[in-house]
Amino acid sequence: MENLSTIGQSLSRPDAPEKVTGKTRFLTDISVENMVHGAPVYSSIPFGKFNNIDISKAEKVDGFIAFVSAQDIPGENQVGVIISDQPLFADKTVRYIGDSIGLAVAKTPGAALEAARLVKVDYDKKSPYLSIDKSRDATGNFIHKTNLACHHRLRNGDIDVGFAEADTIVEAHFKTPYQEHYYLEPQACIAFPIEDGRIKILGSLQCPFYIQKAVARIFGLPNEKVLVEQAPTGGAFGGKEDIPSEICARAALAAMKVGLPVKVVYHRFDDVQLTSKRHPFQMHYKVGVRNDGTLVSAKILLEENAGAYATLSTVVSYRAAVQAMGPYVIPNIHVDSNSYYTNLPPTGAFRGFGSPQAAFGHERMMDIIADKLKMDPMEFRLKNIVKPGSQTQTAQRLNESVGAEETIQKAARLAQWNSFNPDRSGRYKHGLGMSAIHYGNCLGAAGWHMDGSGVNIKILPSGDVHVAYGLIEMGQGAETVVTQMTADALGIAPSRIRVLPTDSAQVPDSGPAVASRNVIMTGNAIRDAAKKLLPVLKKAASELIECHKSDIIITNDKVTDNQSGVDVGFHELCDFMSRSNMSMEFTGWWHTPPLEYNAETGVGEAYFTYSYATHIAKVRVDTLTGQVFVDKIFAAHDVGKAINPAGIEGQVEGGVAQGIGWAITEDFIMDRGVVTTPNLSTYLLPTALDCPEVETIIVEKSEPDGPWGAKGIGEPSIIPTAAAIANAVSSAIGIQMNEIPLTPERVLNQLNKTEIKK
Amino acid sequence: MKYFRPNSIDEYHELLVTLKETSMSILAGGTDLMPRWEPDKGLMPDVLIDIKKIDGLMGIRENEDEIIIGALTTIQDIKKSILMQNEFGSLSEAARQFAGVQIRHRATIGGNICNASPAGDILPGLYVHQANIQLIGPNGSRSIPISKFIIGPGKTMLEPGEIVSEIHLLRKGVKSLFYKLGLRQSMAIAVVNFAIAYQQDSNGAFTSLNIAAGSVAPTIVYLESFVDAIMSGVSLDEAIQHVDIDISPIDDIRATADYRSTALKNVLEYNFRHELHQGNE
Amino acid sequence: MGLKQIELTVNDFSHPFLVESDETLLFTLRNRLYLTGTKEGCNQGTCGSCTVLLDGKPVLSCMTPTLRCVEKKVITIEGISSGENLHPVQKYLVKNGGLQCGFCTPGVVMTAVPFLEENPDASRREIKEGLSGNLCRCTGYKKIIDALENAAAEMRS
Repeated sequence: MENLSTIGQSLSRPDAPEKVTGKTRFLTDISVENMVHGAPVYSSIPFGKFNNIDISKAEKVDGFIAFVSAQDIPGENQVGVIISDQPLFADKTVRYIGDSIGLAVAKTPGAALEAARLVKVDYDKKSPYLSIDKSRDATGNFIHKTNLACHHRLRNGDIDVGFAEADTIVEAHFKTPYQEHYYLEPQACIAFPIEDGRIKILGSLQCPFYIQKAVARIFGLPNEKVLVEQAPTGGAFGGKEDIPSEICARAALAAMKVGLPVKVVYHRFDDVQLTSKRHPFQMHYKVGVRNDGTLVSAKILLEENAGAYATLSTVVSYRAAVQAMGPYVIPNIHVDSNSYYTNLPPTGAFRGFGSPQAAFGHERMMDIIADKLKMDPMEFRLKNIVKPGSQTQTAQRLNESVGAEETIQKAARLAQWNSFNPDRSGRYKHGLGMSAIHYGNCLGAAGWHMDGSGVNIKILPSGDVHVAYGLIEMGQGAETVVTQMTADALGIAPSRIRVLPTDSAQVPDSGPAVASRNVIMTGNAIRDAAKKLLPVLKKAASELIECHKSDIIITNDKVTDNQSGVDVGFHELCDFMSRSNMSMEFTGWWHTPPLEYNAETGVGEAYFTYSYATHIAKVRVDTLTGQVFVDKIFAAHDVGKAINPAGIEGQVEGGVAQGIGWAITEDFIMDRGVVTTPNLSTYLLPTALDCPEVETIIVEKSEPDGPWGAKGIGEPSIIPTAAAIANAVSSAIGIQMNEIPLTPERVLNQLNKTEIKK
Repeated sequence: MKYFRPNSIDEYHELLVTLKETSMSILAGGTDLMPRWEPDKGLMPDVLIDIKKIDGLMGIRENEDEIIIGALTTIQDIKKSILMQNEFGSLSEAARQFAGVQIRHRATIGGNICNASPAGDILPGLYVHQANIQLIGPNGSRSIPISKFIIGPGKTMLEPGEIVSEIHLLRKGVKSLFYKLGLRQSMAIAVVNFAIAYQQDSNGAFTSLNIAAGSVAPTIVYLESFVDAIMSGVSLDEAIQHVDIDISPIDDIRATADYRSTALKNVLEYNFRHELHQGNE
Repeated sequence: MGLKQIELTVNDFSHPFLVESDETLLFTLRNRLYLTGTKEGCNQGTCGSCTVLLDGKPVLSCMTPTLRCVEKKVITIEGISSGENLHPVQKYLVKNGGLQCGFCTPGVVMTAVPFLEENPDASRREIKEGLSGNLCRCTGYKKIIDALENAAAEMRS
């Protein structure tokens, strides 16, 4: 049994004191000498060609410096992160309102913005595709070579046999909307030209190594010529996964062209119009079930609106496909997951990455079937839930760390699920709704080749310990848990540890800071480094104390000879090591276990482990207005091992709030490709009054491949929420609500249609 | 852009005489105007006259017959006023539901009136209490009922050089309530709002009744047909159908015209049945 | 556009400097005084990140013309605590984990400090109402409200 002194404790955030005093300098707060500013010039039409860019008016703006466009690119004009379908600057064809034409550079942000607005482009318009249906049914005049951006499939078992065995077959259609990240700090970066031809990027970002590769590609340079550092980042949620690559590449081109540091901060209107969002899904589920409630067969079609470029659609589509039927045993299943190009802003990474959409499908479906079978929705779920030894829908055998059942039971107990019996005679109808999910941790089979991460641990003579890692802090608490895990890996006090800002020069490419992978990847890399480091420390200690190295124990910040009881402080050991010319820097590396997965059939090990969660929403529906009020959320999460319980609660509470926004208030609207909800008075994030009290229940089913047993929590926190709310509303009003957001108008229309009113 | 901050009405009028610029805006709290000029500063007027410092336009005072609210009184001051809470419940409640605290500290009642938003939360209460708007101009002052002062979305009877100085409310012992339907629970622009001012005799029959609704027409409108129907004694079920005569809602990004009409009628009917005890509960 | 010489009192220091007549207090604080603790989230008066105190009252600096602040006292996040001594609001935001990315945090502090001073006995619901003009995209607010409850208790004692 390992001696844990900080893991499992709610250590407070090391970055908090600077944040509450306003001392933290976010990228948008940073100015450097001779810095100039860039503003994006972008397409004002959704689809078409252009021939001429006229900058004559822009050049007259006071403070104008330069205009950067496709012809300034020395390397490849391409930023597609998976599929190479996206030029950095549009090359004659524009595919959405926001497609990049160029970057105007000027002395002040205001002048850059003004110059950008004055660049005139002549377009030949084409008829745009503004919906999945229009895109799918197109016969020519495609957005790219075809309108299908990508396709994933799963073929497991024989669904015809399955449906024949079923007593009841239920079909339903679901729709989920866009969601805008609305990180409070907009997209922002500074690009610096370095005299020897290298380029440095400082950014508000999630994935330094994506940026490194993207910028290098644009310049035709080796990756190491591009240095990327992360500045404190004011929220990301997936929105700063791949998007900063293009913004930084444009800023870098401008910086090299004008020979000065170039800062680009997107104005909020541009940020909302130009950057990625959550994929809207339309889903068709057909599920067969026996009278006793056993799931036997499913045929599922997921259709995704990818927008103008594929960006991360392939992996979103993959994740949605392999999680399409949720944490349930189902022997026969076909899933098709198709992403279609449209002439709308690209959709990409957003917390959950296709999972909240799929969860809406399977969890609405579970409630609809339970209703048909007159079964309790919880009993129906428990009947089919995966357990140790079960197979997932991709025929992956689950062995350990399967807490799905326990999350259902614990959430239900706390919510008093079995005794809920509301009075539904009045104006307000109350409802309780449940939603259970699983979430594949890390990048899975589709991204295994880049699913490795590193750390570099440096012991200083003072006894301080510096940890460099390849993932990032974006608010989620990475620095806090890296501190805790390093402290316990070495047996020292957390106060000694400083987690360095992420810098591509300090660590090897560690893949993207996404997929709830930080704790697992960085934690295991820390353990790897500690494995190399501890013998060195012990050997040095044995020389210092003059004892056997096997008798040395390092714990609670003390280095002790177990035989004599003699001890020295950790800092004394470090001082001794320094004076003795010993190596004091150690690297650690970890990659996810290999997976056996057949990409053709979709059968196999999709992810090496899964997080599980159940949310129960308690809602109130105003039958006069259709307003939905969320009164409470009970959220049970199997996280393997809670490294920092308060941090987990914070993730859950924040994920729930975003889930509430997606489910109810965040109605993202476009008119022919123009966002008509570009600000916070039209795109409504939940306020303190919209967010209910959240009861977080932590379930710990230890994961053997997780550091200290831990699994991811960042994304599971949002995945079940919207479905739980929709289930609660459906139950409250007795109408199946299969589309979100549950705006008052949508709910009232349904109430009126079925005349349940009053 | 030139910025001026006169200290008095006289100074303000003297300033006007000297100005040659064609485009000019008057800044009170600034909470509606400032966002309009972002990010395009080109939209700013040539002259901005900040009237916030003009003496004597702030505060709530009373005499036997009236409560008089200075035009620069903030929404926060109205929210906190016990006088308003006791005698003009609808205005007090509207102030409570108005934006967030930072905006309530800046936004003024005069600015809210001149902004003449069809969805303005403070306005229905002023309509049902038949507020009179006191204006001061270079040629003296005049008084206009609020419903005549506001003539369209963003449009008022304000003449060049005039500003709103006071809002007069008669103390008639009328009770009032305010309702707002927004798309979230705070910081929301009304999809529908309304105020009801009423007096009832000991049997619960109305001796006076006045209702004004917002976000259902180009300006706040009185629900006159509905009120007439109620006062004439027709059933609530029938009377409620008259609401559609009074309103002319439109579709926008927040809601459709149909929804506004339906939600307004539903909540209004509920209020009459359960709060004002009309018809069968 | 003409620059104007003005004097502004920020965090009890008087600063003479030149400003454009159309600039906002937010711009002045961040770009002329380098007080970047006040954050620019939306520049539209909709997020609360730029909240500062003007004569003791919380206002949105993105909607306040700088010239209007002459002869008034401006307090920013940099003026709330001195040295290592955090204000109870800040102390409990740290303790309760009432922040994640931290971008909205200065605005939360600047709204909460005058609110709790004025309403030391505020209920949880009232605290939520008081804070409803500050949007947070990370925390879901629960730990912020917890922190403010604890801060209020300390401020009462």
